[in-house]
Amino acid sequence: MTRVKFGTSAAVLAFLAAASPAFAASDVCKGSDINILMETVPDTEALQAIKGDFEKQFGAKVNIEAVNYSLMHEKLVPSLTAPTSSYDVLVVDSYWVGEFKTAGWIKDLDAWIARDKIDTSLYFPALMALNGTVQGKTYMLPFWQYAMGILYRKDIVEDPAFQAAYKEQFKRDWRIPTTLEEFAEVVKWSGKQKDMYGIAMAAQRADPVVMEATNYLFAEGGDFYDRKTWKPTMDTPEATKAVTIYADLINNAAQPGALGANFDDVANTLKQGKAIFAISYLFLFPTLEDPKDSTVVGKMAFAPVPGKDSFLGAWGWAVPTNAKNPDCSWEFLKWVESKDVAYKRALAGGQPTQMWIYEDADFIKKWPAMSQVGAALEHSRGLPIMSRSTQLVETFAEVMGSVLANNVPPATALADSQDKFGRLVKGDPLLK
Amino acid sequence: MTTATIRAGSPGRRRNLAQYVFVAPAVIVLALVVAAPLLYSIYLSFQEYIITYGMGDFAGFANYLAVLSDDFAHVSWVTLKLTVLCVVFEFVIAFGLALLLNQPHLPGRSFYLIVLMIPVLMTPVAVALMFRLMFNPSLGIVNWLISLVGIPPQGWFGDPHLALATVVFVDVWHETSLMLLMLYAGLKAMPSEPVEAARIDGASRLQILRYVTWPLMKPIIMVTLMIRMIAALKSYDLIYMLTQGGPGKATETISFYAYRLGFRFLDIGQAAAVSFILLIVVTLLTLVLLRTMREN
Repeated sequence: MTRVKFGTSAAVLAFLAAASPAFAASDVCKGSDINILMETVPDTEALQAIKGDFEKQFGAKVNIEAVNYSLMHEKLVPSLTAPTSSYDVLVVDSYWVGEFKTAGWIKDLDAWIARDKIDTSLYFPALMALNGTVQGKTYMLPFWQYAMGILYRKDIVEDPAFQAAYKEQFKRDWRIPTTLEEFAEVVKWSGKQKDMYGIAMAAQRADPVVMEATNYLFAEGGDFYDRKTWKPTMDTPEATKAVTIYADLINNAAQPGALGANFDDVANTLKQGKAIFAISYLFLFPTLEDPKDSTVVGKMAFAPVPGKDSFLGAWGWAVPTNAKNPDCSWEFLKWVESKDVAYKRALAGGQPTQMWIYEDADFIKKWPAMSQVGAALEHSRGLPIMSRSTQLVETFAEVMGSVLANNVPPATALADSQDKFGRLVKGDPLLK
Repeated sequence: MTTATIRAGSPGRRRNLAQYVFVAPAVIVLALVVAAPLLYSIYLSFQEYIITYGMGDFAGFANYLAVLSDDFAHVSWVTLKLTVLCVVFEFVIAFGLALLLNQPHLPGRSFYLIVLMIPVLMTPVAVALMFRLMFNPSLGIVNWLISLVGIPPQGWFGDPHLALATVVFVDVWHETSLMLLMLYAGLKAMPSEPVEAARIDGASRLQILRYVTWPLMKPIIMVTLMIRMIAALKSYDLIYMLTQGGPGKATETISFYAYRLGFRFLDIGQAAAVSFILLIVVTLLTLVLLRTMREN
């Protein structure tokens, strides 16, 4: 009798185990391929290193296609307009969010989130607003953030001789610049002082120059639109000042060929010890600290962009509406953003989006610059969430191009662009 | 037997039918792969179609007017400059090399030919990546070399005054081999008797080139120039990899403009309009080529 009872209990337990979500999840993904298009950045490398864990656990194959950023949008659009997507999981840049949502390319995740009790309060609110929810519905889980700020050579600026020369020049003790004008002055002077490039800049058309120059715009308190009325505001004194300062640094302090440079070139210029400052991405730190090809290991530091706000960007995980196996795609999202996996990625050099990781002592010890993320996020904002924000980037890039390459006065170029910016918001269902 | 006397069921009529049956598969494939997309593209050029919002209303000529009044003049000028510079430099270098290779009893001719063919065998992407690195303002070998003679580092692809010239340089390096191949083949196919006769008559090398070789090579040269010109007018891949049409719009060609409209602005209607305009230009040039070939 006891043997029968035990056997019955064991069968019940086995049945319960079989009915558990973990077993069901393996079934959903078994034998599937998860194809993902990603950018060639440290976060992708961190994921490449651990994707085998998902493959073992779920019986699926994860194929990551890592490409330069400039190729991503044009590879995704044809895939998303096809009957079935070539990619099973999407990483969505913050300024594609409106476009993808309006076009109906990404699935609403709320039902899955409720079913599986996913806690989205783990994420920084700023990042959920940027790469999580749109018009009250959740379409993405934030993947990695690209806060921007000043990357600078602390070994140079903390050198007593440098600080003495700074005091003599500026009649004050050394400090990290607090305004954009002060930053420009210090950059130009520092370059001449040390016979280096004062700043490494990325003014290549279109994404690089816009990501960088938007910091200048926001730092001066400018913006593309009044975000209540959606009237373009690019002809303001703040915008003109921002673009003027940017052009001044390109012409008088940046490395040669900055008009053709992207963030990889900025990283290389810094790694070769040729520039003192850059306004660029916090995520460059793993590569700057890599002893294999960096000459500035242990010499770089991060500070917030001087002025009002910096530019904030991020990426989010999403499931395409035309995914072959959306349930498996969702399982991948859950796995990759689980606390354990998110932490592993962070330690490997990723830019986590969950707040608790930035309070972890081991993480901060390994990546000290990450202690600045909270401050960077507090005074930052992203591009407006609108259906044509990709085109906003192209339009601003045209403005910057005409100023930097054709020497059109900033005020003229910005005034001429008002009409183009205005057309981008006409009839946008996200802005009603 | 004339066409009028061919009766139904006759061997001549059956042969005509057979010819149509045999070419039908190729025509059907051509229609599906070329004609159908082309006609659809022309249809799109008259529609308001932004991918994010889906197909809109009939736009008439609005897309054509929009693209022609915007940046079209500038991109056309850049395309023309790029085409003329590339074709002229490539022809001069290729013809010179072809004449050298065609010298009688040249030792190592096959070796020279193989080495000179290497550039055109490389994909444009590989060529672009290679030159992007070489011309990198901070890390590239070119700036290092010029620094040895006291020239300061140049921006190259990042300098609005040098970018187009640098792109031309890369294109010339890549495409000269193709022209060389065509011109060398033409020289090899040329009858040798007129050259020998001129030599016997005491003509100098320059006189032989001017009065014998050049007239005989004219048809080949015409075809080679036209083929290369048509390809250069459609320049896109090197522009994409090297400069993205920048700095500013210094290197933006018509093809790249169409790409930007379609893939960055997602305005398929306007992109189709630009593509159709380019098609008309290239078609006209092709007709000129065909007429020239017939006349010669």
